[in-house]
Amino acid sequence: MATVWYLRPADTAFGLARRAERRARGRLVDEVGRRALRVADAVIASPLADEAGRHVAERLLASLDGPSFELLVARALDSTGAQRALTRIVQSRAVEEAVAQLAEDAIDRLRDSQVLWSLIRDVVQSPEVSAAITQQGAGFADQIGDELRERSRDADDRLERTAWRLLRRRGTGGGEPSATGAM
Amino acid sequence: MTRVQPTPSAAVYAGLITRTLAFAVDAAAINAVAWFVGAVIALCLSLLGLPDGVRVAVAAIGTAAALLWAIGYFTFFWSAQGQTPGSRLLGIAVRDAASGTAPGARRAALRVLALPLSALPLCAGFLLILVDRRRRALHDRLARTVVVYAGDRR
Repeated sequence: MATVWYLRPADTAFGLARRAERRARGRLVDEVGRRALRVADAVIASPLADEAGRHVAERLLASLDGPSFELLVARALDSTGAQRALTRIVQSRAVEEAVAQLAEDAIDRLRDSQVLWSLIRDVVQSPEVSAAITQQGAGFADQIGDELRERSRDADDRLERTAWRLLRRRGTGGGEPSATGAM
Repeated sequence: MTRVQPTPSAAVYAGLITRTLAFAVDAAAINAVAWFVGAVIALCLSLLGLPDGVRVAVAAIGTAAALLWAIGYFTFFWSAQGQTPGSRLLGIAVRDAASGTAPGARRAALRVLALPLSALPLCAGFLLILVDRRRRALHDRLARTVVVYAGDRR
């Protein structure tokens, strides 16, 4: 809508006033902001802020140590929702991948660790371990020897019984031989 | 009159398979040593470029040494404790049939020398183990020995 000619000066004056107001407001906001930041910087840099931060942290830690916090955590953990959420978190793909990644990293680091290998060398070369391995090896050899002896004795008896049966079938045998000296 | 041979009471006589396995272990040990020594000597002599006649003589000496080594092996172990390494592995021992102790050196040597007699008639001498009351082979009868399970009383 076109402005009526006699209102044009008033309209121009209003526009100028609005522009001046905007500029003044911008300057004011900038100035107030700058000052607020300066104040905030001064507060943060002051020893008072350090003291306050420390105080808050101590209170927080004290409350974490207290029984009420433990009770709160226990209640939260006992709740069905929390258990469901925990189960979901544990079973989540992200956790699985993170655990696998952690394990791989740990194994890689262990593999690269010179300290670990020197520790293993020391352990392997220690007389106690050598003695234990020797003892275990001897025990294993004994076990194999016992098994071999047992089986060969059974085979002896079986073979002898078979031979004696064959001989008896042909009518030559009297009685089976005794394997023992106590006849 | 039947001659009753005294034997250690309740001794359990070793059978054919156990004795064969023990003998196989001993044969492996004897051959391993013989082959190793023979190979070392052959390698050393190969550098000397010996004439054929000398080589034949060395081979004959080597064969005799191997034979002596085998005889000595069995004689030594049988007369010492009645057990060769193979016998020890299989848990058997050679004993004097009369006394039940380890055979003396002469009896052990006689047993070694009689051993081929058991093998000659298609191993029939060894098959006697299957039918003999005390599981004796031909060479056991000739040397008057028995083979028992060591440390066993059934």
